[in-house]
Amino acid sequence: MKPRSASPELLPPQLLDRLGGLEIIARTVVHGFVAGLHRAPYRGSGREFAGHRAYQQGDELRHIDWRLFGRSDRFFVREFREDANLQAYLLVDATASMDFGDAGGITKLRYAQILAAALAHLMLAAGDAVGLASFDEHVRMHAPPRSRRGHLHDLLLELERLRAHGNAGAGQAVEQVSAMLRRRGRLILITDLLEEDDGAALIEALGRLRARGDEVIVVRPLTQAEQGLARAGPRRFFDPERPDREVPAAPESDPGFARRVAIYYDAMGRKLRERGVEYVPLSTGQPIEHALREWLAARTAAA
Amino acid sequence: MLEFGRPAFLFAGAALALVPLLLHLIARRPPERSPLPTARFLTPDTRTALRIERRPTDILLLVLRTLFLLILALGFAAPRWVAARTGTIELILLDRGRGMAGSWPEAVDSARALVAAAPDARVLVFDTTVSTLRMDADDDAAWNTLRSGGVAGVESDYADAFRALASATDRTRADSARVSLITAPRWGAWSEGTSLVRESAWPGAIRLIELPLDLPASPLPASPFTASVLGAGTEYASAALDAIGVVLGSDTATSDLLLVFDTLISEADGASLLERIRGGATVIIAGGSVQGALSEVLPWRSSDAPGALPPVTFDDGAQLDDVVSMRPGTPLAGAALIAAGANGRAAAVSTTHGQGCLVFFAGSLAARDVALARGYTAALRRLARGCAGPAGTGTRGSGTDVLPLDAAARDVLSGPGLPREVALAAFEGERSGRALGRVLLALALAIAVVETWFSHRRRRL
Repeated sequence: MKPRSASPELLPPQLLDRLGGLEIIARTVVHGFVAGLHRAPYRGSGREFAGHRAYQQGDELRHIDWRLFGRSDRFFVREFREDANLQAYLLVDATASMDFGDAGGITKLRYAQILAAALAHLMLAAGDAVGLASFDEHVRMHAPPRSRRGHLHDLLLELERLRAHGNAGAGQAVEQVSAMLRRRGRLILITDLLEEDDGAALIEALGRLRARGDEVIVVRPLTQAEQGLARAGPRRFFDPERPDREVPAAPESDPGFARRVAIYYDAMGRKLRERGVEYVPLSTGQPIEHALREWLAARTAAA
Repeated sequence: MLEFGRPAFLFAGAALALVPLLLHLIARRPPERSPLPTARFLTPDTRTALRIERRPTDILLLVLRTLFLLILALGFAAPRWVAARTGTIELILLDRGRGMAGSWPEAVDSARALVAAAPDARVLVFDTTVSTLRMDADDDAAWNTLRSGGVAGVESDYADAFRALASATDRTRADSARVSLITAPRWGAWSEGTSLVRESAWPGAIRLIELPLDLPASPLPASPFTASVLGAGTEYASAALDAIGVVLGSDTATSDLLLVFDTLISEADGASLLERIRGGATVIIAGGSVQGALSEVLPWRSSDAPGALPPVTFDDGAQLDDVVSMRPGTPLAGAALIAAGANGRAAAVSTTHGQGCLVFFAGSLAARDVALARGYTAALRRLARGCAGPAGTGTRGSGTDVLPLDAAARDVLSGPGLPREVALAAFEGERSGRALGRVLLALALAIAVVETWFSHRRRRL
C-alpha cells in the first residue's frame, strides 16, 4: 500500500466522536491509521485457498477463476478456507467503570466502541471472521464471528447499542467467549482491568485461552483522571461499581495516587505478558489512530 | 440630596445586611461526590476533603442578598430626592392684615430698617396671600408705594405666610432663614399657621416685632377660676390656658382648676385632690394613673373596650384633631359625657363630687403633638368648664377668636436670646422632592428575582 503524500491530521477522540455514527468514525480511524503505513497492517489469515469447484448459479462472479476458464473454457470458482481458519472476537467491557471520562473527553466505553469498530473494520477487510461480545457480570451481547459483507454494519450497530452498567466479571466473560471459539482464534479484550479480585480470575482465564493456542490481546483504555494525571480537587470519590463506598480525598495533594495506579497496571501487564497475553495500555486522551500505530509498531518490533 | 422620612429603617437595614455575611461565613456544605473508578487507590484525607469549598457563585449570592436587604431598607426609609439647598437668608414677614391698620406705617418702617441691616433680605407681605418683594432700603419710591397701599380688608393668615418662606428662597437655594415677623400678634386657638411656627421655632427662633393690634378683641369670658397645671407638658398647657384667659396661679392649694397631666397620683395626692373637689374645685385628670380614694370616684373604668379614635369632638363643638394614647375603657354609670371619638367611644367624662367636679380625659394632653394640634385651647377651654357644661353652641378654636398675644405665649414663642436660623424644610408641609421609595422597592424585588434564579442554578450544579 502506497503511503499518502500527506497524512491527515489525527483528531483527538472527543472531536472524532462528533463526526457521526460509528461507521463514519471507524472509517476515519482506519483511513488515518492506514494512511501513514507502508504496507497493510496485517494480513488476515482467513482467506487461505482451499481449491476449485464447478461454478453454480448464485456464486459470486468475483470468485470465478478466469485463468482456469481461459485454459478450460469452463467456469470454476475458488474456494477459501476462511471459515475453517481464524475467528476473532472483540470482547468489550461494558461495566459501570467504563462509563467514565476525563472532563471534556470521551468515556472509556466510547473509546472502546471506536477502537472495536476500527479493529473490526481492519480485520474484516483482511478477511477475518469477526465476532463481538460485551459483558458486565455476564456476557450481555454476543454476535458470532462472520466475514460476509454487511457483517461490519451489524457489528457497528451492536457496538452503538452498548451501555455501561453493572459490576465487572471479565474472567467469567472470557470463559464464556472461549467456549465459543471453536478453533484457533484471536480474542481482543478491551477493558479497564478494574476487577474486584485485582483481575486474578481474568488473568487465569486469559492464560488458559493462550495456552490452547489462541491469540489474546488486552487493550486497556484509561483516563488521565484515573491515572492521577489530571487536577482534581477535594471530593468524596466513589467507584461507580461500588457507589456506597466513598473515599473523601484530595488527589492533588496525594502524590502516591498516580504511583499506586501505575504499580497496579504494571503488575497487571507483567502477569499478562508472563502468560503470553499481549497487553496494550492506552490513554483515552490519545488519538486512536496514533494508538493503533504504536501498537502495530510494538507488534512489528516484537515479531 | 437624599432625605429620609423614616431613617430608623436605615439602621435596621444595616443590621439586617450583616445576616447574609454571617451566614456566608459559617455555612457549611458537604463536598461534592465524584465518580472515579480508581478511587480504591486514593488515600483517604477527610480533613482536606471535607473542608469548606466555596464557589464564585457564593460571592455573587452574598452580594445579591446583601444588596436586597439594603435596598429594601432604603425603600422603607421613605427616601426623597430633594434638590440640594444650602445657606441662610434673611426673611421679613410683614403682616398686612386688617388688624395692622393702625400701625401699618410703623410696620413698613420696621421692615425698611431690617432691610437696611440685611440688604439681601426679602420681604414677604401677607394677608391671605403672600407677595415676595426685593426691596432696596434706599428706594424711597418703593417704600412709599408700599406704605400708601395700606392694609387688606381681611385678617391675615400666618399659616400661608410661613409656608411661603420655603418658596421665597427658591432662587437662592437657601435651606434656612432668619425670620422676622412684623405683626400685631394674636393667637386664635392655635391656628394651623402657628402650629408651623411652634414646631420649627419653639422656642425663640423667630424674631417678633410687635405692633399694637387694631382689631376689637373678642371679649374674654371672665375666668371663673385660677388654674394650676401639674405634671408633664405644663408649658404648652400653661400657654394655651393663658391664651384663653385662664389665670394661672402658682399656688395649687388655692387654684380653683387643677389640671393633672401624665402623673402618677398617689394615695396621698389623691386624697388631697378629693378634698379639693369636695370643696368646690374642678380637677382635670388626663394621662397617668390614679390610686387610692380618688380612683373610687373616678367616672371611668378601664376595660378591653377600644379607645376613642381621633378626632375627638366635644359637646360644645370643639374638636381636637390629634390625640395620643387614648385609653380603652368605658364611663361609669352616671358620668356625664363631655367628648367622644370618631368611633363613638367616650373620650372625656365628668362627675360631680361634693361641691366640685372631677373631669377625666381618656388620653394624654401633655404630648407635644397634641399641644400643637388644632383645637387644643378649645379642648382645654371646654374641659375647664368641667361639670358646668358647654357654653352655648361653641365654636372651633381656629380663626374666630381674636386674642392678643399674651405674655406667656409670647415668651414661649420668642424664647431667650437672638433668633436663630429656622430650617425651611419645616415650613414645606408635605416635603417636596421626588419620592424614591417605590422605585427602590421595585429594585429590591428585581434583585430578589435574580437571587432566586442564581440560587436555584447553584443548587442544580
